[in-house]
Amino acid sequence: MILFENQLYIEFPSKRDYIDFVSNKVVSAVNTIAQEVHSQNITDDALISQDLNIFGFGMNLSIDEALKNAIVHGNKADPRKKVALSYYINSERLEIIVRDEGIGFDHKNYKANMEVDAEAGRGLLLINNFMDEIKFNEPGNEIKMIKYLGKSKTAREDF
Amino acid sequence: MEITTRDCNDVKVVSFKGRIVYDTEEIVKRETEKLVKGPVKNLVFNFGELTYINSSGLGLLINVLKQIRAAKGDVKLSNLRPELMELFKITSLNSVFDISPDEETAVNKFIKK
Repeated sequence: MILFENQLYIEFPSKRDYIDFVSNKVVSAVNTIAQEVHSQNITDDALISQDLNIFGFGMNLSIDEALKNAIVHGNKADPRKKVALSYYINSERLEIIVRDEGIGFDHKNYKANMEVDAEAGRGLLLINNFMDEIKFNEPGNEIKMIKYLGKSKTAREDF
Repeated sequence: MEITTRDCNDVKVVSFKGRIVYDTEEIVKRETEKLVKGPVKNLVFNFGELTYINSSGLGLLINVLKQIRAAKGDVKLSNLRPELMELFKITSLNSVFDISPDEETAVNKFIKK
């Protein structure tokens, strides 16, 4: 069994144009790492060639929504303010942290109290559904999203 | 992002191909605005080749739906990929939109009315 870990930190200006590019790159990077290690640990040739795509739609969407929240709500789309994204991946889990330079929000009392046909406000609801755990720092300008590899827990932070 | 339309009796079938993200939202807005202003208010959105949509995209679709329903029409969805269907269930939007497994079923819902 090969144990591994890998991490990355990037910063970029608060422009919505970057959201899709960054989320695609991150998903692609963590998939490459996870698949490489997975194939090293498998002895059955038939399984090695399988395209696992460990992180897919849900991961892409969660990063997309977290970046959008950071840029639009956190930094109020001010391009002078930066968004920082970092990820950490090891054999057990993937953690993605997104931080903005805004004042944060009241994550403890946040409830997705909205009309079902409202035109906005679904970002956190989606992240919460696709991730195994989400955590905020105290002021609420940083979100940590955790996905466990292999077994998927459905633990939820109370928010 | 490609959006193509086709008339099918009194129903307009609109096929979406690609991903609705920030970079392609303008195209979707422009094309759907044409539909809202157009004469045919019975719309079927075929999402068979729509591979991605985020919360902003969902907001955009709801906006179109509200305008079309205000004009006594409807937007029915068809051919959703499993991950998109999951998205509609998570957000309870499957109770807001009329979703059919295939285009024909969606079109027939207008004709039988």
